[in-house]
Amino acid sequence: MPFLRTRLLFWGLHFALILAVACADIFEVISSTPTLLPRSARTYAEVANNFFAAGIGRHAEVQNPFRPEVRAYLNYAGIEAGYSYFAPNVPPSYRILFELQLPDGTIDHDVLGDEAGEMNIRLASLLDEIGNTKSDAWREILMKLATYSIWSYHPEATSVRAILGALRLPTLDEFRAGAKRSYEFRYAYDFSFVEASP
Amino acid sequence: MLSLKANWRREVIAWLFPSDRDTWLTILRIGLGLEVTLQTFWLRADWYYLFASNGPGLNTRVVVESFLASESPFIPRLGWLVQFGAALGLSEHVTLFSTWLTLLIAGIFLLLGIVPRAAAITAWFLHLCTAKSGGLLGYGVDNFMTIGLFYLMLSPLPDRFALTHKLWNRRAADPRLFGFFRRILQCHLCLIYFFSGLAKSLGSGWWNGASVWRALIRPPFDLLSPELVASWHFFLPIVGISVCFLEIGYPVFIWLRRTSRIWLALVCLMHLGIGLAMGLHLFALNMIVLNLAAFAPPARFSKEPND
Repeated sequence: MPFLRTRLLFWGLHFALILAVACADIFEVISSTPTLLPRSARTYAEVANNFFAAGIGRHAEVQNPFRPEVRAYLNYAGIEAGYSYFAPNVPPSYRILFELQLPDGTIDHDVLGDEAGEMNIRLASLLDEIGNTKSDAWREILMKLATYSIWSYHPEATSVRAILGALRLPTLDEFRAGAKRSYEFRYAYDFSFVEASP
Repeated sequence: MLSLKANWRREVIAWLFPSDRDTWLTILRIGLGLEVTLQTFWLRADWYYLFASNGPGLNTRVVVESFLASESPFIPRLGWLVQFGAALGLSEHVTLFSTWLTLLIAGIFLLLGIVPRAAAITAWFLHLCTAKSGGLLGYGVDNFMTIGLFYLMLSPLPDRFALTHKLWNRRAADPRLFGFFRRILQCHLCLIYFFSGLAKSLGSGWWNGASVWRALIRPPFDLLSPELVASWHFFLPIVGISVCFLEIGYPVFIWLRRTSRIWLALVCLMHLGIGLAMGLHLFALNMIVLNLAAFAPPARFSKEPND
């Protein structure tokens, strides 16, 4: 077999990276979300997560001289993310309701995430990012972008209130007792539109 | 001691480089070709909404690409293509349309096996550009498509069923190379399922059925009515535990002769169920293609080398 050693070395490194990403992901799950493990496991998981995350250059603030190359390779191979889909528990979903103030004083409503099929699943990812981020600044940027996209379909609106709600799903027992899905208020942002100066 | 070490080494090499036919590569090529074609076609109406940097749309591309650049300057993105197009005097609109069209053609070429290596590299690069630039709107299928296309473009193409092979009668690659690349895909799938099952089993919801309930009634995956799901309440814990067991057990039971076929069938059924019940059609197709390519029985037990 030609290039046997080179092949083994390359794919060995490839699988070491897959393992490092998967371990970082699983330890992050343990350290940051409630699991069946005892609370003391969180501390150890955080240490382990930091170790693996440093190896794969996940955090910019941690020194890793090969970070750009490692991050690029992880993205090339599609292995930059772990595999903890819907784990350890299914996360909440979000919705943004837009109240559009029209020039005649009336209010129109629109919603992000009422598309069909493939696009709806993709918009749900954006809504998850907006709802789950702990950064106020990042959330505001994303809310601005979402609001702008809605406004571009309603250019007559003078201002928009964007309300982010988290969907509260009833448990099975609650549902059988008659409870329905409801939205819990999370954040509201007011945006107004002015013509950009030339 | 030395001979023991040499024997062990020989065993490992023999396991890593088994002689295999290229049937699995045909499944992977056709499956991913279909996937790329369908995804690109389905996104045709939303392409500018997703990726344009101005005008009606989400306009997230520029923000996402600035984060990508800080992560690594080497990660492909649509901004590169837009800049390249601008240097040729093309507008962003034209460049985005050209990207869409090229990706669609690459998918069709993969499907038919026309210059499959070039088609696989093109599909991988353009898919990566769109997946990265549209990162905020991405989900699992984008990563798994990248994984599949990455392995496909590095594998010994063309396979015997590719049009290019039939027309020009290219010489087939070393059968051990087919076996080796299949091993890589097999090992990767084992890691994916093991860690996915492990992460799920850490949450109480997968043991008592609550996570299955939430997954099925959570928008945008709530294709089934909650009343219908609630009427199956006895099955929900069984489904949750089965998913954990199926995924954690995958790296063991998929290799055992007695269980490999049943495990493959169960995993494909699980993905089919996810696709139909939750509307994750592309994700389901992608995972079924990867599983069939990696472990489909006819090639799985085939000892004879390529023709």
